[in-house]
Amino acid sequence: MLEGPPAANAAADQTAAPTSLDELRRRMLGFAIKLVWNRDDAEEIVQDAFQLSLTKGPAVTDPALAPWLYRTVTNLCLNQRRRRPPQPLADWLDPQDATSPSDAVERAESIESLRAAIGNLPDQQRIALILRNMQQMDYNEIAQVMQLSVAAVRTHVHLARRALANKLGGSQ
Amino acid sequence: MNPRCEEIQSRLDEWLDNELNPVSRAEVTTHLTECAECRDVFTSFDLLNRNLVGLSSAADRIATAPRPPRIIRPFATPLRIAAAIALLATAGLGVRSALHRPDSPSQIVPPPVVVAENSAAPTIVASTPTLAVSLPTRNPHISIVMLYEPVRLPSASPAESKPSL
Ligand SMILES: [Zn+2]
Repeated sequence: MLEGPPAANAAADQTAAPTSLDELRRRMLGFAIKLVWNRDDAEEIVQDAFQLSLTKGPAVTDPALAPWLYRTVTNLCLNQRRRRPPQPLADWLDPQDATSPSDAVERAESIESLRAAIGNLPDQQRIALILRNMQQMDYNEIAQVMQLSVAAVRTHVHLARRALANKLGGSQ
Repeated sequence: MNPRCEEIQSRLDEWLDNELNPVSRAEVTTHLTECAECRDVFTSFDLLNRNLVGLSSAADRIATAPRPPRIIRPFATPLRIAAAIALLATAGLGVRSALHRPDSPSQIVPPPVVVAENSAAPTIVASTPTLAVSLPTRNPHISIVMLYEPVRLPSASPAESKPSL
C-alpha cells in the first residue's frame, strides 16, 4: 500500500533560514553535489561562489545572499568544463533502506538510473526538481532562486516528475 | 480516463508535496483503494519520491564524508589574481595592506604579501570584509596570504546573478 509522501528529512531540511555561513556553505555543497556528483568539483564550485559573493554578491548579513549563492552555484555547475567523473553511488546508499541483498541491488540500480534520468532533464526542470525534492525548499524559495513565478516553478517540477516517472517505467 | 480518476490524478503534485488538506487527502486515499489504475499511477510517483530521498541522502553522505587531509587547490589561480588586480585597477580602487593603507584611494599598490606560518588549507573567511587570497609555497608550513579590499562595482555585470538556465 502507498506510504504517502516521505516525511521531511530533518537532516536534509533546507527550508529553515541558515544560521551561519558554515551552515550556508554546507547547503551549497550538498546542492552542488546533487548537480555534479563529485565532491572535489563541488567543493571548488562552492569556494568559487563564495569568492564571487565577496565582490559581486549581497552582503553576508543580507537574506538575499542564500538565493544569490544558489544561483551562482547553479551557473558554475552548468558551465563547468573541468568536470571529474561522477562518484559511483553504490558506496553511498544506505544499506538499511533495503530489505534484502537482492533488494539492495535493485534499489541501487533504480537510484542510479534516477540520477542519470535527472541529469538528462532540461536545466530548469532539473534545478527546480532538485531544489524541491532534494533540498526540501518550498516553492516560494525556489521561485526566488530561479527568478521565476511560483506557477512556473510548479510547472517545472510537475514536468520533471512526469518525465522521470515515464522514463523509469512509471505512468504518464 | 473517467472524470473522477482525472480529478484525483490532478491532485498528484499536491499529494506528493504534502499540500492536500486532510479531507482531500482522505478522498484520494479512498479512491486509491478502489481504483487500480489510479493506484498504479500514485504508486509509481510514490516510488519516485522515495528514490529521490534515497538519492538525496547519498548526496548528503558524499558531502559530509570525512576526507584525508590534502592540499586544496589554491584559493585563487595566478590568472584570477591577475584578473582581480585588473579589476581593482579598472575600478580605480586601491588594495589594502594588512600593514598600511595607502593615502590616496586611487593609488594602485602591489598586493601586500603576508607570510603566514600556517599549515592549514587555504580557506576563505567570508565573515570578514576582506578578500584573502592564500597561496601555498614549497614549504608546507608557509603560505602567502594577500588581502584585498572588497570591490563592489556600481555597474557590476550580472553574469553570476542571473541564471543562464
Ligand atoms: Zn481512478
